Amino acid sequence: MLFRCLLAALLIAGLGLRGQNVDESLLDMEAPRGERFKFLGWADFLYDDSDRPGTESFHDISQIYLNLQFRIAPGWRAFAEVEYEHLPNIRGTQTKTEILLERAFIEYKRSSAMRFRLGKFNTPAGIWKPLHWAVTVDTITPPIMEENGYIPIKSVGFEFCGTRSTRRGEMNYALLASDVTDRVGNDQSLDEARALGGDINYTHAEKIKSGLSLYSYKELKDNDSSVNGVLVYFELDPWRGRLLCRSEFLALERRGGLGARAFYGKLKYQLTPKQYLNYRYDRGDDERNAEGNKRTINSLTFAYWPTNNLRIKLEAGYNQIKSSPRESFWRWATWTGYIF
Amino acid sequence: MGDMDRLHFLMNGMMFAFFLVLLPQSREHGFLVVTSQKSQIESLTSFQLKQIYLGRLDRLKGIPLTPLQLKKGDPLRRGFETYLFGELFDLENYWLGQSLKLEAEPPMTVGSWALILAFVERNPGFIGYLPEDRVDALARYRVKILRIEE
Repeated sequence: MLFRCLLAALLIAGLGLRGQNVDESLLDMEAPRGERFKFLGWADFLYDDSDRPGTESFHDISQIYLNLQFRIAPGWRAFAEVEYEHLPNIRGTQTKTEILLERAFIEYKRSSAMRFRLGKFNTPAGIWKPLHWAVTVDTITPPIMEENGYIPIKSVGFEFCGTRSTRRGEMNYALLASDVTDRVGNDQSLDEARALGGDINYTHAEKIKSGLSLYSYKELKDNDSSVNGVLVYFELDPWRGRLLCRSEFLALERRGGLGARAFYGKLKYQLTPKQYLNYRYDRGDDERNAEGNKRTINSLTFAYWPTNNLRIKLEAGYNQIKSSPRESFWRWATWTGYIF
Repeated sequence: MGDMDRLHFLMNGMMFAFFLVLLPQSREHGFLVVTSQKSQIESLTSFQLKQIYLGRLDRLKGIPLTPLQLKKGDPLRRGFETYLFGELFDLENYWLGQSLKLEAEPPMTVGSWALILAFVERNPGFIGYLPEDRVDALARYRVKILRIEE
């Protein structure tokens, strides 16, 4: 208080002097606006191997993504994303190399509380799925629920979403109506299925996040192929970014068929802004890689960003499959990604 | 400078001296958060300020908000971001995720705190920051200091 009064006195005493001069010509400058076109891309190299009998190692460029955004008019944007994909399955044998139109939509943003999208976009569900790209997730291998696509990553249709902030919290919400374009879990795809779903989550004081996603897929030709999914998730940040705890739990019910359950919990310790350690416990019904048997994975990932554009991850995981006979094996991988 | 100009300058200076004594909380961090005097917003919580600079809060009291930031590498910007997000928060990674999800957009970047004052004065929804020791510059612009509550 004394310092402030002294400072105030000095200011009053100095009023006879001219203060800081600002170049008046700068006032006529227009406020800079966002670019009309935005281009973003990234590519990665993956090495993946395991000691599971009958597997092969994989090492190759696995993904190249190209995004283009175009600002049509105030509030209106068009977006397209193309991916080159060349990923291994759990046995290391290569998947079919594909070039995919990952996303393409028109968006109208009235405010952060009201956004509308029409086209192909990411399914808003949980924490992992909206940020599922290799350059943004904390690990190399996705959780079992994501590998199986129990809630498909992509939807084609209409989405309404938004964010509302209070003085100390934030709520995010999304509703969508779409066609299903991906498999849901096992290899029986849902042809001509329609989906309705939504997601809502709340973060309080930047420390606790909890959310719920509900999705229903109805096969128009065959009701027995209808699927309902519930995803519950939590995230805790008790140490201002130093330690992050997260879990997601999925329950899938199939009318006339077997359901599926999957869960993961993780701890992420931030060593520096560009280095972290991530431990994840993963357990679930694995239809794509283990014939529907329960699979458990304990994995540890170390990540390092040498520069803002270059990212490196090292990962090792111990897998156990509750098959007959039981299987257990180690899987390890290194990943390097470059953003351009 | 005429007598009326001197009187006007003196009155503005005394008003700001009065504000110095009252001490809005943002001054304790080495910077001042400012907005236009025409704005109805008088205070923000630190959470709201963070949400504004993360592009997740773009409207308050019906006013569209536009945050302004200094150029990358500016010591004041580094200090402001450390206060707001903490030392471990990877802001580059955050904006990468936002670009991929097509959600929030980064604050508008301007070349100097003087430009921040100029833009903020002319636009009620603009919010910016300047060094605490430049409080004397406020006398020349119709801007006010926002109170930041924890």
